[in-house]
Amino acid sequence: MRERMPRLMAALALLPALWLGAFGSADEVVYQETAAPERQAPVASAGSGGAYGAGMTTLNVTVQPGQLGVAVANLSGPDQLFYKRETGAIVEQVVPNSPAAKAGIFRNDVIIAIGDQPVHAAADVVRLLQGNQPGQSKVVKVLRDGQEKPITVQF
Amino acid sequence: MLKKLWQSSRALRLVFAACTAVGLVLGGAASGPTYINTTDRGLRPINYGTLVNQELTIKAVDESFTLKGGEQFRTPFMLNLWSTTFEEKTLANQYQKARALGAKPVMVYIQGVDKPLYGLMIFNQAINAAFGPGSQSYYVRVSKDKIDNARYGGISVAYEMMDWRNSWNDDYGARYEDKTWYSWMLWLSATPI
Repeated sequence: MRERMPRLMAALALLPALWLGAFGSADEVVYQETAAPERQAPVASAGSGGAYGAGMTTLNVTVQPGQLGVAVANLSGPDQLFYKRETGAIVEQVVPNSPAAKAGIFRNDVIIAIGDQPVHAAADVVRLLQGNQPGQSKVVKVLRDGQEKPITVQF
Repeated sequence: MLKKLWQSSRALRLVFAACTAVGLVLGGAASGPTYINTTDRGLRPINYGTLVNQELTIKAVDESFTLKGGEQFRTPFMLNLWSTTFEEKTLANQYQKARALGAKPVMVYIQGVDKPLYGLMIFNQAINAAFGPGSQSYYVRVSKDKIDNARYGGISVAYEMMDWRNSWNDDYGARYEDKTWYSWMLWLSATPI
């Protein structure tokens, strides 16, 4: 009897230990974070127009010679209400040190013409800048603070 | 009979002890509690906001934008503040961190006050798990005491919080907790910061 008691107590002490052990400890948490999906550009137009997908964080792209260096999109419904116009290409992002940045084109400018050609949509920016050569300059007319502003861009 | 065997065989007791030890080790290494965060952290732009204070005009130093008092604006730039932390109690001193994150230097002009204030401005994006008005548009309002504090030599921080839902699955099932995070922040000072 005297020997049995300690053994019984040991067994009772071991049972909770096994039970607790099976549940592990706090620093063994299996942590699985859901990955943030890639953001999609509102309109991603690329090519010789020099427009890029409009991520809201820094654009890490290289502007090719002859490209403008902006990400443009068509005017959304709220944009049309805000700018009080239905046509144009809104600048969503400007690549640092690009011809557009050097000329003073900013995010939220609405490109309404390039040279003497009107810009109705984002695709027009790409079309009108196709075949653009380095060293060439073009006047990009933008709408900023309700005013039309011609900006000369040196490519 | 078992009792006899137990009492007579030292080896058996040793084997039992060893098995118990192994059991403890394996038990300890068994599957831990599960925590799978299911929050949709996909970024969502907040495209519009309003500068509520009629008396204020906020101009970017690089001239890339101007926010006019009482008017709606299209967000001039957006950063991602969802992977960073700000110590709430020392927010005023964290302007350097804000600058490193991409905060833009601005000048804040106050109607009827000659000297503008220097500022640093951040617009955060929303995540898909964010909800409520703060995640839909910016409501830029700077209280008078914060403006006065900055005018008289202090550093003020104005900001707005947006609600978001942190969701996860664990051993107890699907759970969530509602939290808040900054949607925009503006550091203000009478001297350049």
